[in-house]
Amino acid sequence: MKRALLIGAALVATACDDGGGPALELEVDAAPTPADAAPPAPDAAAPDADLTDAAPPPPPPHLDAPLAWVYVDDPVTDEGQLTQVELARTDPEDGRLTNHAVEVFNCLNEEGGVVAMPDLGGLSLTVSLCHEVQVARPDADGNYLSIMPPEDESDPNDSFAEIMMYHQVTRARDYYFDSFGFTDLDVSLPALVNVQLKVEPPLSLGPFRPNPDGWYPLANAAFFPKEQWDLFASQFGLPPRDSDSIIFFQDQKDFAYDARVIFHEYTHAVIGFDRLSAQRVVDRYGLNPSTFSMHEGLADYFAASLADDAVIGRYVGQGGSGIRDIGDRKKCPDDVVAEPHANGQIIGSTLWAVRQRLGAEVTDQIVYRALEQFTQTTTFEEAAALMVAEAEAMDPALVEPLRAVFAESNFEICERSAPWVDFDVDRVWHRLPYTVEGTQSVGIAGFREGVPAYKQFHVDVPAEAPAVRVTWQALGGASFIGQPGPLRTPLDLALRHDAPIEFTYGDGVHMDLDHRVTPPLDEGVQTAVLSGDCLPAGGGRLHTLFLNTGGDPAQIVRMHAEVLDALPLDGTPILDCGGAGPIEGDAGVPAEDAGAIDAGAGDAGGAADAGLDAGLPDAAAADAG
Amino acid sequence: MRTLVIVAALALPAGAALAETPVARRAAEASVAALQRNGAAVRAAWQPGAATPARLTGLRVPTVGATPEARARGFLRAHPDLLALREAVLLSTRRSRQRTVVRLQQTHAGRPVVDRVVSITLDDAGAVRSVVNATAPLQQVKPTALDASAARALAVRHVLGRDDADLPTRVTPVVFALGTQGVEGFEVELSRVPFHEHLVVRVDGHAGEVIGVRDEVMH
Repeated sequence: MKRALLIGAALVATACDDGGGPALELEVDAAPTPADAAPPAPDAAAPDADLTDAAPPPPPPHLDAPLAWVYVDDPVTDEGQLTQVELARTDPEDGRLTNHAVEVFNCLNEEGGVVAMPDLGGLSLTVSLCHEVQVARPDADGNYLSIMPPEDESDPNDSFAEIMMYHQVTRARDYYFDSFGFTDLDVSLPALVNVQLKVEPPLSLGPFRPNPDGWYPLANAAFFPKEQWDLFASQFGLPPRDSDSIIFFQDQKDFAYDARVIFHEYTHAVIGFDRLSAQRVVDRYGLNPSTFSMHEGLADYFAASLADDAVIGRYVGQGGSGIRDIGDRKKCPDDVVAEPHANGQIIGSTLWAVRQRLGAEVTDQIVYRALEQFTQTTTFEEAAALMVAEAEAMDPALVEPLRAVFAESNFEICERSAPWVDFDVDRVWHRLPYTVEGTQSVGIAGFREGVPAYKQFHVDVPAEAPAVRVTWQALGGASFIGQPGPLRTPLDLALRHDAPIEFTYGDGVHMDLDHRVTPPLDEGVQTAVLSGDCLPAGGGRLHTLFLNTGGDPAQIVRMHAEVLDALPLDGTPILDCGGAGPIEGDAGVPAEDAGAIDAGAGDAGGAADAGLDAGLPDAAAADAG
Repeated sequence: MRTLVIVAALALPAGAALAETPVARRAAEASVAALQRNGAAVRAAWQPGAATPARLTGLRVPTVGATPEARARGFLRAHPDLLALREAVLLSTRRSRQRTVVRLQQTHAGRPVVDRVVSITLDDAGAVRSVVNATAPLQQVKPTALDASAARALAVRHVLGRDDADLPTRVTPVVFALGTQGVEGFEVELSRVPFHEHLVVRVDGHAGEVIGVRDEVMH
């Protein structure tokens, strides 16, 4: 069956992206190519005379365990050295790279791929996909040893990528089968390598620019659920298909050379779409992003465990340091962010720590057996409980050390309220803004009056403190293509003394809070001085939660809070949360509840400019989201 | 301290049917207690305010049926108050070395209820060993004011910024649920050129609004 490919998955910025950094200088020529192990290439084996009269050479033998060169891990980890391995027997007699686990296609930059001519509202484009072919074939002796890495890693047609994909997917499949009896993917999973596309006339879309030959390089890899195939294929006149697929793109680096990236994508296929597919769920603290991020975090964990190395994407990441290192411990709530790869490092690094404590085999079993029971909405907390139950069933002695590791990252129980810190999106490890979903991005009906952020922030207020200044800068819009624009709807801030704001969901959304304020919005910045009844009487912890009443998500790129010694006289709006009347602009509070808000907030907006940027870290970072 | 009810979008008329959750909870608790009488190791976990348990472990409940799905459904029929799941379709059946996991998706009047799934684990003997539950009884589901065609048009305009009658789409009627309340709506799947994310646009059919867009391709 003719297949086409997913061309644009890489457009959405993800942590699988290598960021477009410079290619590493690798000495692939240093790979072992012993003369006694590398037979002549098929075309070199033919005699140079009587070509026209000679009978066609016999087909290569169909070996049970043909030999090939691969990177066991990747070019960086393996220091450019190839290793000779036995490939799994191919199903086709001619040695095309298809077996029970995978069917590898090389997507060649040549004519013959499918073409679409969409009309973008008057702009007619021709989108050409590379041409999918099973190129790799065995040498005359039945092995594949003549297929080596190309001198140019950006080669968009090399067959070494096919060999890597075939070997590593088979390796991953065997791991899941041998360890857990997993057979759901014994369906020759389509796997595409060297994927690029061409758009005519050429378009430059942000970082996506064509090469001089017109082909767009893409730095990413993706798992493509079968459920999404039909729609895509229908635009190209292609038939439906009955399986998922994994897609590996080609930029300056070939993502198929990185075994752990292959394991990561294969694990997405193992988990599938009937588990952990909800992007976010609701819980007592608001929106919880842990579900979908576990799809990523478990893909990282199993990839790392299979490779026995905590670094994911050491080759495709910049500078050999990888794109993620789950040996670097992340925890809740400090490291909670909306982006699933980054948030997934909380579970990934927690499980890696468990693995170091309990060993790989035991940990893998605990995790996989828990995963088997997950639903589409399982959260960190529920996952932890299932893992504890599985550990107890395996050996009760495992429970205490397992829970001890969980406790170190608040994986089993997490109060999602972190300290207000000086936050600057360019200065945090994940380089991601704090996202507050909008009513048209949250995907959950029922939050029309305000969508809660993914985590709360708290300030410890001394008893004698008269005020706390909070300020933040946010961008808005552009949840998909395009750069975020200015924030159009101010964020509200819910306040609660001495306990996090808590939600219950029954006949509607109920929020336990003390006050809700809407500081004025000025060029993306909101600032308020909280005083009086806004603060816990006699001092204590003030929990805050951003609420978004706008349709688009807000991206908070800078935050600052400070306890003040005195009320400021610089014109910054001062809120005491003690007024009786409704405030202007506080659209998120139903009329019957508006009396909870300080009347002073509304009339202070006109004097807000003087202090707007005073506390924010590094104004230069404002557009970095 | 004050408690604000901030959302009215799914709220019932005052007093309507609100007593049902405690009733359902008591029935579910009784069902759990019955299971615990037959198996001391049975543990139940509940989310705050939920009418039905989120998780049951330590089970060993024999079932009968020709298929794992039939066994799972038989278990639910034998304990009708446990989850109060009256209507569900098979989402998946997965087998591994020593267990089979059946996932059933809650439906309402034939529409799948988004993200509400129960996972029932069977051992090799066909006994139920665990239940992981994300379903919950719905007290009210607000009807859609849009038909599929209108929902499609709304979704396409939201994503493309214009109409496109020729763009291939797939529209699935669904129910979006929060707590005990639901609203009929649609999931509109579409692909956007030139870079083909596979977008699923959620449309609240009652309010006539887009409530979310996601790309289902994973990296």
